[in-house]
Amino acid sequence: MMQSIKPRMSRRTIRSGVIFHTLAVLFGVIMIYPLVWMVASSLKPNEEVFTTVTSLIPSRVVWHNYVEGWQSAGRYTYATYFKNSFIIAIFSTIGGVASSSLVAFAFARIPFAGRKACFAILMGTMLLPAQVLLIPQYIMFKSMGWINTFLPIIIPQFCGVPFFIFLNIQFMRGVPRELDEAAEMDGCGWLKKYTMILLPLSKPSLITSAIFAFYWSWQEFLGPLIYLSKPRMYPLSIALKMFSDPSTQTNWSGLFAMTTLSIVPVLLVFMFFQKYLVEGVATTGMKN
Amino acid sequence: MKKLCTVLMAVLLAALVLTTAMAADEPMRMTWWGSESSNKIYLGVSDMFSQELGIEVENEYLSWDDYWTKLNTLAAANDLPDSLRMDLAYIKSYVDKGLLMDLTELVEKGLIDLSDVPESAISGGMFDGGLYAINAGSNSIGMLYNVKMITDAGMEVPGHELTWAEFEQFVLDFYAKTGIYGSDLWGLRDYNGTFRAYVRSNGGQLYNEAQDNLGFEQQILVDYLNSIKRLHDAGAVQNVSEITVDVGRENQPYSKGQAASITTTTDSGTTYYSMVKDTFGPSVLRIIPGSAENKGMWVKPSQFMAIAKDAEHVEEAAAYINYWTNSESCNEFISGRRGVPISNKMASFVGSKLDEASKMTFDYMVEMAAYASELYDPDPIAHSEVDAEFSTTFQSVLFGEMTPEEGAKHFFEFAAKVLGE
Amino acid sequence: MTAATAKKPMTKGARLRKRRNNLAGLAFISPWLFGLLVFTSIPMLYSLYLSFTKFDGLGDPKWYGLNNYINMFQDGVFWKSVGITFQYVFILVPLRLSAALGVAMVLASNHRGIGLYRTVYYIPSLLSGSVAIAIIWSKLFGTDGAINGILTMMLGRPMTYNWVGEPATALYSLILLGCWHFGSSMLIFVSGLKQIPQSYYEAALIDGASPWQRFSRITLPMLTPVIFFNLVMGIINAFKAFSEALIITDGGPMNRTMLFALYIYKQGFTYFKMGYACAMSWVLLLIISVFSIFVFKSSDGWVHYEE
Repeated sequence: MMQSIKPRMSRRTIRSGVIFHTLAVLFGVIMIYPLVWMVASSLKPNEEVFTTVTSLIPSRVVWHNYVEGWQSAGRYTYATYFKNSFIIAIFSTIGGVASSSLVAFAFARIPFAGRKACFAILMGTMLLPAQVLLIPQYIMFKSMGWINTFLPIIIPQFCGVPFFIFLNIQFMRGVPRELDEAAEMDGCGWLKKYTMILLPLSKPSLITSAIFAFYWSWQEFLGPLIYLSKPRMYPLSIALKMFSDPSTQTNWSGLFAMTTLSIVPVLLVFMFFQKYLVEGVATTGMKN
Repeated sequence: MKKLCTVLMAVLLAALVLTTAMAADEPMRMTWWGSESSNKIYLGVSDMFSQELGIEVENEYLSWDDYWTKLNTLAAANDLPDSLRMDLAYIKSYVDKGLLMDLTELVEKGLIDLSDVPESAISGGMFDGGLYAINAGSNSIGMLYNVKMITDAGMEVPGHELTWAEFEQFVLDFYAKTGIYGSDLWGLRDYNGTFRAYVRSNGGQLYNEAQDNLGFEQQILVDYLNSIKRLHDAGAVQNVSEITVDVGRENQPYSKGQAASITTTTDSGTTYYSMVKDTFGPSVLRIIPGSAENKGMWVKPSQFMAIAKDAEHVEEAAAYINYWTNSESCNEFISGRRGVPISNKMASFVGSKLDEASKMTFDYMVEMAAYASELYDPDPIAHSEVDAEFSTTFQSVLFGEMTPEEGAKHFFEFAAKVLGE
Repeated sequence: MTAATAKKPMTKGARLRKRRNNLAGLAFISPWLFGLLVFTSIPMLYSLYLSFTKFDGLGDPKWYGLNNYINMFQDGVFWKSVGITFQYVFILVPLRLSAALGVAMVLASNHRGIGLYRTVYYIPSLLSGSVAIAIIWSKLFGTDGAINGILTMMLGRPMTYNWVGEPATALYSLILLGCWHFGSSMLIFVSGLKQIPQSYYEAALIDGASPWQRFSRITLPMLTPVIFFNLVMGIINAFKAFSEALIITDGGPMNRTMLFALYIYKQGFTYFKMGYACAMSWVLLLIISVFSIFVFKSSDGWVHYEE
């Protein structure tokens, strides 16, 4: 009997697998088409980008677009802009993820006075559009002598990012309370409970936060625009905007080439971290 | 492990703070907006300037939109760079707020030498008796025609003295003969250029003297919109839905050989010229149709250089302006790519060293002077809002949501309200 | 915990514990509290002050009373932008959320190559803020773009409709762009699914629960905190969305894509009405608050927390 079931089961899995992969690939093609278009355009001669819009194959492959684009933005090459983006993104990610998790723990677990009010304020700070805060923030950071440094962009991240705090709160609230109580029986304080139980168990939300934090600070634009004046400190997001100018010709293939390069690091970060989202969190072992 | 991380972070942060604190004697800061090609020019000038005069320069540059977002924030925080580039659209607000330095004294002291510069080229930077900016280059607008396409169609390239009605007929005829657009709608929507010239040649100005309302008759706008609508509805220009999204110069019909003419500034005229020359033949600039009437054209300062009121490096900034105005090596390097030099000496010096595209522009500037009258007053602060509404109205009429009469009425009401505030 | 806190007159131990909790809470939130007081609260309050002034961003703000708020009511574009923003939010948020949830569910299975699919579906989100997306999108949906190419093939007659440029469809092309970026919400759902303890499913399997029962009794309830998160943040971010409308359509054609936040940006930085922009921002804050509070209140009924 066992033998007769097995092949039938696997035929079924094969069929469902085929259907799954066909649909997934088809959907993937739609999703990724614009990106493929961009990469293809980055390899076309500039004058061809808009004359052969629907074609994905360049008449000749122009790798030179990458060389030219790399050197296009003023005195510095894209090496400088990449370096600056890395500095900003790495520090912001570390700071943002670590502090947000810490703060989230208090909101999710500790019944302290004023928790509800603080949470309401936390949500409230997300509601104002960033652009109207620019001028007061600039004046403030100037008085602190932080202009033309990465500090106004990085340091606030170390105070927690509302989006990640809220995200971590939601995940922590999903962690079974029995685990806390068991820890309490063992005489664990809040710090222990955080480091021993909730921190390891909220790994999925930490990873998600890290992916987002890296990407957001990578493409963050308004802050660097306002706080950094020296082109050698510009991150990629500002350099990329210098391709387009209303009064002259735009080097489109160069823009596409550099945009393509600029998403490679964020893509790698994503691929690196998302591996850890494959397996679920095993809580069974911890109950004992 | 955790401790190690903490220590590491502390060290890195300390390093960050230290690099900040080390910033000591700052060189002169100068800013401009631009992309690849203009950055090359400015950076080249900065290098030559530093080398020849031994003055160090900190160059700061951004794209046009970002430049103004940033500069306005800096202005609000009283932190403007020493030397900055201004545009006619913004300079009045900056002068009114007392953000710019009166350069008169620097000129008197001879730090900025204007002896070869005609009065007319200086007056653009004068406000209430003070000189707040030196214009290092002038430009204008015009209608660029593709010579080859037009002669191939068996038609004549229009001259300067074409009337607007004749232009309309030209566009319709060209389309009828070739099936290619006779003009490019991008240029016809231009409130700042095409429509301003249209208004001036009909005896008005965009704004009245007090700048609290529009300065022309409603009927002028009605006529203009009617004319454009006829061209649009005949299919002689591209559909209005094509101009609601700005996809860059390369995508405009003129650049792709799909239109016979386009309104452009002289600066961009050289760009268009080089863009289409090899594939679709040479272009030629003419004044905006109808502008021969009433001398509707103007010469506009395109290269305002100013010094911040609270600048730390005043003399260096003045030397920079002087260098741009009077240095042969500087002007040879720029070779007219930022407009015609204001100094007569430099203009004739550069004139002999131009490439084909710049030469067309230089020649045009000489020819069009005969059809130009006094430059308009700097636009009021609400100009950009009125400009945006013009665009909306223009589209509404062509999309058929409003008649030209309704559109004009709506636009006049809007402008009166915004300008009156 | 339950027995100790239930007693009415507080014992010494309970009081002590309460104090310890307060201190611990304060310690844990201190980074945020510090940031709030130093970096956030001052600029926010200043912007509130500016909303009562006439301020062009260059000179000194002049007291203007309630005029900014009053002017809003007479501003046609303001009302138009409110309507457009509501349309944008109420179409985009449910669409993007269900796409993200659906795909996340499928991708939570353990088929081979899941990581690759996830990456491919996430990639569009990496292009959201770039200048390149403006040109890509308007080319894709433009007259000679790929969409018209496909439609031409399917319909057998040439299509030259400019989907981004026509007033009737411009907003929808932006909504579609928002949906295309469902990857980030998807990612949050995926990690939410991964957070559900495996032991629950094991227990359910032993009890002989069907796949549907496992989904409706375990997966869905356990995922509600994350659904709630994505819903709230989706609403907030959709209300605040502006950069895509700015770089692609610039609010046009005929203000049909003038999202509220874009209008604020224009008033503040293009039209030099910073005071007015601040006033509109606080109105936006109020609007989002109302919706957020509504969603939060409703959450008692459908969000399941482990208590």
